[in-house]
Amino acid sequence: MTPETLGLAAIAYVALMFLVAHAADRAALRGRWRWMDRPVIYTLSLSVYCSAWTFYGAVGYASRSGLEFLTIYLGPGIVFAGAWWGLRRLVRVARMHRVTSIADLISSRFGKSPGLAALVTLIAVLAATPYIALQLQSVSMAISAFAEDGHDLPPAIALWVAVGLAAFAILFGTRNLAADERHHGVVMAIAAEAVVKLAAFVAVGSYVLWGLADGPGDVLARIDRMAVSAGGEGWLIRPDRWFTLIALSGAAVVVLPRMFHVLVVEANDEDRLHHAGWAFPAYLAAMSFLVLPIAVVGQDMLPKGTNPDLYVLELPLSQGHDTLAAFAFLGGFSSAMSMVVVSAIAVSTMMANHWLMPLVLRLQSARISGPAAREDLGTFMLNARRMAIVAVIGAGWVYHQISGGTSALASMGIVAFSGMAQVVPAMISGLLWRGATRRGAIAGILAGASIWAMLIFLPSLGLLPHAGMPAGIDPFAGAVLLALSVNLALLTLISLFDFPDPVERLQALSFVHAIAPDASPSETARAPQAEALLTLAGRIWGSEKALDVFRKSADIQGKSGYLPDLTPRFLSDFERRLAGTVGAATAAALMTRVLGRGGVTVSDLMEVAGEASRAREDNRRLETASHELSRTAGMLQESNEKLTALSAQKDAFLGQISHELRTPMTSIRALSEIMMEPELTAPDRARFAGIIHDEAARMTRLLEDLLDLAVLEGRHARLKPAVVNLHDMIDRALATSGATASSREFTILRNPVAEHLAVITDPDRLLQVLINLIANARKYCDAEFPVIRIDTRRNRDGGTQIDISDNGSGIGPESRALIFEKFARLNDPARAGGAGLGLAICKEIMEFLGGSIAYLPGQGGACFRVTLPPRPRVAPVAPNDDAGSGR
Amino acid sequence: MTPRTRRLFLGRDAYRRRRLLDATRVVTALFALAALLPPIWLPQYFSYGRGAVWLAVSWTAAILATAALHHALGRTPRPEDEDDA
Repeated sequence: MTPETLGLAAIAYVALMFLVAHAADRAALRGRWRWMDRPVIYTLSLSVYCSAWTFYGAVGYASRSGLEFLTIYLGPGIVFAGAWWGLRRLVRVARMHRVTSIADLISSRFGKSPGLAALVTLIAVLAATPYIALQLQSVSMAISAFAEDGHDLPPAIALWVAVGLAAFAILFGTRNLAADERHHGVVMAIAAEAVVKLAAFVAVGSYVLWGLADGPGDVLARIDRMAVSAGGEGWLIRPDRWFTLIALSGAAVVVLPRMFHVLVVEANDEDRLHHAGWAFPAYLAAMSFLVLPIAVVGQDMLPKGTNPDLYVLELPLSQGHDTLAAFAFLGGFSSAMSMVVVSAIAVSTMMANHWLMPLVLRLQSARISGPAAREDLGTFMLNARRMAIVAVIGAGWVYHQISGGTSALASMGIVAFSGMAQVVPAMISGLLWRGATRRGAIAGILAGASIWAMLIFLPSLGLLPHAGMPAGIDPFAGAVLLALSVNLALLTLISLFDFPDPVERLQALSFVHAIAPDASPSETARAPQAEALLTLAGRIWGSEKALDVFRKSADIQGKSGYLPDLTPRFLSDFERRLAGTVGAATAAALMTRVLGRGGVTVSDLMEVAGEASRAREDNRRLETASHELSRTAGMLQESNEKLTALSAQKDAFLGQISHELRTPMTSIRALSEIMMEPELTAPDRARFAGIIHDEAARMTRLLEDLLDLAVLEGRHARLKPAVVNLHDMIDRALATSGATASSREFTILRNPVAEHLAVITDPDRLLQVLINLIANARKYCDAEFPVIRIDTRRNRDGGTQIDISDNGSGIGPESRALIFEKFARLNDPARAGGAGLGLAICKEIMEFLGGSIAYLPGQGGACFRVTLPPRPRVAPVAPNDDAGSGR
Repeated sequence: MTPRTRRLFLGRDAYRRRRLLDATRVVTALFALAALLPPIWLPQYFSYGRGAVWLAVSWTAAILATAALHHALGRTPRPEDEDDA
């Protein structure tokens, strides 16, 4: 097979890919993209990570340095295993802000900074150019492998490849300016190429593994033989390189412009990471482990001078399998093609958005908005991108020509990785830490990128000598770790002492908490400005598309026509849409131009924060209030129940008191009428007079009780303190209550010795209480053998405590709350024989004496505890009471 | 910017889903350890055939585990109020 045939095959292949991309674009245009918008297509498109280096460089790498080449795949393997953990967040936030590139992401997070975007773009361009050169070189090198000795190669292969790929990228990458940077045709084409790549590599790998070697066991044995061979020294893993390369490749799979483009920008949603999380590592594992047999078998079977980078082609060629070799060539060509096309699209978007647009905006600041500026910004943007594509691929070609296609290019992959890795600290801290600031990010990236340029990039181009590292440290690993440490340290330090501007703080909040920034604090603009915005949108998207966007927004606001109100929500929505085309920094600049508004101020920001915290505050107040309400309601219900019970008691009492008063009155009236009869005998008259007297006494007692209570409650009673022996008091109380009460025999349990306590109190009042309690016990104790027990004790504070208990059934819990209330009587009034004032009077007296009376539950019967203070309080007589009584 | 109220406790399905997510993190961490530690620790053992087998086996295991977990995650219904946790 001659290089010419191979060239024709490559051209045919490119034509096929044109067809695939064209069909996909047409389908998308007709809205039939859904069937292609599958996770599997997304996953396959990620394989753009495997550039031509995987086909050629990885094999050469493996034959020189052994397993170290695996690090380039293990890093992404680890990152994607945790895709749902870290990448999902990135994709979600980037979709929310309609991020167009890695530079746009960093710039948008750090306050839509145009400077930062331009800086990241610079690094991307620097890193991408030699990398693209490497792809061009790999194609021409691969074709040369097919040339027989002395056979001339077709001229300028690299140039034609570059032209073809640039045409492809321009055709399918800059077809139109969408509000999101998605290229269905390109994605479909690279997915198809991913299949070709995998099939070609698996074909060669399997052929080598089972056709040339004796299966995996044989390959492992050959690897182990490497350990003792001459080249075995290079196979020994160097821990510092191992760690650094895994970390670098893990970072590169996210931040390399082409990877960021397929991973984030082309992602429709984050759900497809479910599939990519395992399928992409599986793809990488298949591609990487087949490198090993090709490398070791190539070393064993091919003549010594053969370039290890070409083992993939040389092995089948040496066995006369030209077709297999050609298939492998197509696989390698596919990898180069997808890498170059996607890189060119991604980098050119960055260049156009972050270099050209800001420049143009600055140059023609007056002509951006307003009716005068009718020229088509969209076409200008597209042309800028086309020029950038030509420039990027052209630079790669120039670089390839200058470097002369030497093997110095072989390490360009990891040089690019380490360059792009300088944006990783800013990206990760930007997503996780609200405190990371623009100045910190710029300083970190500048310092890191400078160290990278001095120690890695320029030496790799041969423009600077390789700087020495201390003995024992690998120069590359040392330089990478140094650059990243300085980068991270500066970012952190400067951020700690910095105070970011309000836009930056809004963006930080939005990125770190993945909240849509829909409350942009800008005042509502006026209607003429809406028209200016529509003009601007029309110039970028074309007027049909712009009108459509505006009409939909007006619809959402419930307005007819094409001009929505410029509410903060609409404005921030519109700005993000714009950012999806031209990048966040340019979009912000355009909006500022058109609306003529000043930037967000700190007070605007505080207002947003204030609104949020006010809402939270209101919420909390409501909650507290409702708690309070329910507590109050509970209390109200309780007192209502008590009041109802009391009211019932009072009604009963009124009935009772009327009854109590009427009964004696009735008998007094009746008897006095009888006594008026002249023929009444003297003994009868005396008997009736006695009854009248008794009844009158009973009424008097009742009235006295009522009066007594009134006096006590009105605080009009006078205290007459004296020192008395408690024993005597109890004796008198027992005697008095025993004299009046029932016929039942009570056992009285006392401790006469302990009762000899001197108390200072009003003896009459205390006696009243004791009599009442003992009489109650006599009255209500329902035990068969009733016992009254009296215990006395001196308290620690000098007060005195008297417990009077019986062995009856006591007072039920439901009644305990009421017994000390006036008019309360628990059971049958007839049996009680009183008006239910006794305990109420006792309570008033004890309060009057400065002590207390309480019911003690759980004592086996009713038990009351009377507590006396060491000495009675001087009865407080309120002045207004005196005034009241004087009136 | 509505203040988000985080739920303190979840129902059975949402709880299961959270733990599946945790499991994907564990797999990632284990795989990272498997890929990094042995070659760094004992380079002379892991530089040749043994290392290749070790990496191939641990990577395959990680891929299978991740696939199984993502499959299970895809089947459990996503609760409405799922947050980033």
